[in-house]
Amino acid sequence: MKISSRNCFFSCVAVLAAALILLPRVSYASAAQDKGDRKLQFAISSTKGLPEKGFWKSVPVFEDVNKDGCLDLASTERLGEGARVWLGDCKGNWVDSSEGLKLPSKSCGGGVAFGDVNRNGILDMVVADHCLGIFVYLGDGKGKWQEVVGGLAPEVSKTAPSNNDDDADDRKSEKFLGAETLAVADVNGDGFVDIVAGAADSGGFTVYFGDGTGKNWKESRGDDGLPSFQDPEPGDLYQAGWVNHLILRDVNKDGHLDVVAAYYYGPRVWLGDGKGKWKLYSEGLPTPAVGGIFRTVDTGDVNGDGLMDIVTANEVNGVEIYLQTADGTWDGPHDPLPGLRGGVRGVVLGDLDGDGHLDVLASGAYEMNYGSNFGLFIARGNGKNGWVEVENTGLPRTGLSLDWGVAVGDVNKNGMLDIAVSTGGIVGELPQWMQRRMSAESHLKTMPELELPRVQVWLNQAGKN
Amino acid sequence: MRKRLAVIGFVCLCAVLAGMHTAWAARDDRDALKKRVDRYWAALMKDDWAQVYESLDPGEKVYVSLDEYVNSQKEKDGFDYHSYDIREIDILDAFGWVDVVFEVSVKKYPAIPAKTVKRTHIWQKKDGEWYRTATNQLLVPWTPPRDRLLDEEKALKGRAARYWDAMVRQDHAVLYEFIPPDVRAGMSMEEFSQTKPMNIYVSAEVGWAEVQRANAGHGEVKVTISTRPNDPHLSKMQPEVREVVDPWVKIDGKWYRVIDGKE
Repeated sequence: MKISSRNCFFSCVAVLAAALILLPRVSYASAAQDKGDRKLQFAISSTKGLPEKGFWKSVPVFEDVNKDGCLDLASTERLGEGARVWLGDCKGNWVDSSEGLKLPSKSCGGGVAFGDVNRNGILDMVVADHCLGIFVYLGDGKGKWQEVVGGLAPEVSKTAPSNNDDDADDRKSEKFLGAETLAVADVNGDGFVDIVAGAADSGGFTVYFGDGTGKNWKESRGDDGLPSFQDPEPGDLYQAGWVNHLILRDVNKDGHLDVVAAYYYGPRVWLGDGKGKWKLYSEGLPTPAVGGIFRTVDTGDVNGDGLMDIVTANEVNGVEIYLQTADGTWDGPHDPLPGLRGGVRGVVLGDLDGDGHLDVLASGAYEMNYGSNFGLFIARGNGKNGWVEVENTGLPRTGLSLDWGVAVGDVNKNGMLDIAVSTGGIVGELPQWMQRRMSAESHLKTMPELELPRVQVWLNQAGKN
Repeated sequence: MRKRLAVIGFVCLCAVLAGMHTAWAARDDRDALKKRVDRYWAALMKDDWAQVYESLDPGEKVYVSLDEYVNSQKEKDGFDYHSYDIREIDILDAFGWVDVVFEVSVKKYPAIPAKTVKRTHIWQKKDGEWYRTATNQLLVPWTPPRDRLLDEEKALKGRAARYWDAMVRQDHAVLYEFIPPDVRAGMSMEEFSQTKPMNIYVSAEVGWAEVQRANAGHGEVKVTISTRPNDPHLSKMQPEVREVVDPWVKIDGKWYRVIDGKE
């Protein structure tokens, strides 16, 4: 088929017209337009105290655990002893403070959260383990922990499978035992911290209401509005699956916390009524052909319309932004890092350059390769859903082992957000000849791992410029 | 007249000599392959991994050095080969099908008696030397040429090429014609056009077709396809290159692609 110059002319006009129509919605602002541009530069914090090895299969969490005014850091490990806490000194140095956190058997990774579950004014820690369920540890405010609940899991996990039941495989208790992620807050308005947990395999969401002791947790019934074994999302043939990540945010600004999740079905929002009930609020959010590709979520107003938007990490396509619209639907996906071709697993919003607009921090792979192919990437936001990828930040673009999530917080109190990332996976450990073969057959490279801790903190130098 | 007879005689002689040359060449080829296979099996029986390595496809050896191969075989080798017997050799173009019967036992369990196993191994001639192809390579059909209908395979391969070309172009009108008549009877062209395919086929290349003498109404076609899911949230996924073997069925003299196991 020949393409005539006339066709070409009309095609060019059509492309230009489409670009003009789309421009107000997604404007990839040019670097020249990005005025007040502070140079974003990061440097690794002290590596002492942080783990050199391990599979830190968890979104890291910053929290001032011991209330010394300095952010501390937590993550949990796969094939390890469980969660770990590292106390910070506001200078980027870290001291392990995990006494009491060791699990009864090998941990499988999951999620960590902090909250004052026993109302004594001291932060406690709740850990989701992919294999073992939920563990509650009371804190002493100095960095020591005491387990008060271990292996908390939905009631359905105690249902023994029946040999005569055709659906026995779907009811096996192990499938409902593990928890992949969790968040803690008072979701029913009784003044006590509750736990919202996401399943590691099957069962969707489970809410545990606390009684202010940290020791007693009452499971919410299946009619709470969140998908679970009893009431999966309409059309879900698998009786609710796993949840890669969840957070509690007031998405619709009604004063009640809502659930925002990277659910196996896709990114999802359920509005809370402040009494422990939830309502699906996800019109416009996708349900891809492949389950579980959305790894993490965060929220923030990225286009300045006063509505909370969602950013989520698609393991294949990269970062996806969904804008909340005035009519209660979601508009997207918008891709703030279109050059990224290898998928993203961690994502978080934060004003990294201090210009008053939210930026995107993503951990993932810039292009497809084997081995330790993961890095950290930033898209600078202009407050109007316009994004520019920032290069030469000092952050690694490759060389990280499999990444599990990112967090931001001002570690060194310079007024700028610093970065934590959890990494570690079974990459780069194939025999050399097999790596050569895989690389040669697919024209991909096998990337070596950088000599960095597997949980690492990058300090934002922008404030120094 | 005499002159004409002489010319005819000369032509006939040339034809005979050419035929003899082909037959001698085929026999030489066969002998060369048999010698090579003998060396390979003798090496297997002695755990002479360096000699076995010598018989591997040069394409394989690019990735595994002699030392790496020998060491890995010493570590993982789990079989003792006690005897072998080369039964038949069939050669077509640069490929050889070797039927071999061998006795084998598991090293770890010496108490378990040896088993007699019959296998067809495929060898390939490269730069004048025969090499054993990797078992996971689908370079040619497993069935030796003597048991196949080669003309029928040619016809099937041509039809499959048209089918896969239409698949890449998503030409529903052409694809509809390849659906077996009984399946088509339950689905109109309009209905078929409205089905959203699970995958986008970026490219497809038909390799070979196989029609066995013993099962002439059925065929298989090897295709190398490059696909990615038909989903906007997976649009950055690198196309996955796969080799698939498609089942085909012949109905009223025409080949159709088997849909979901239905014929």
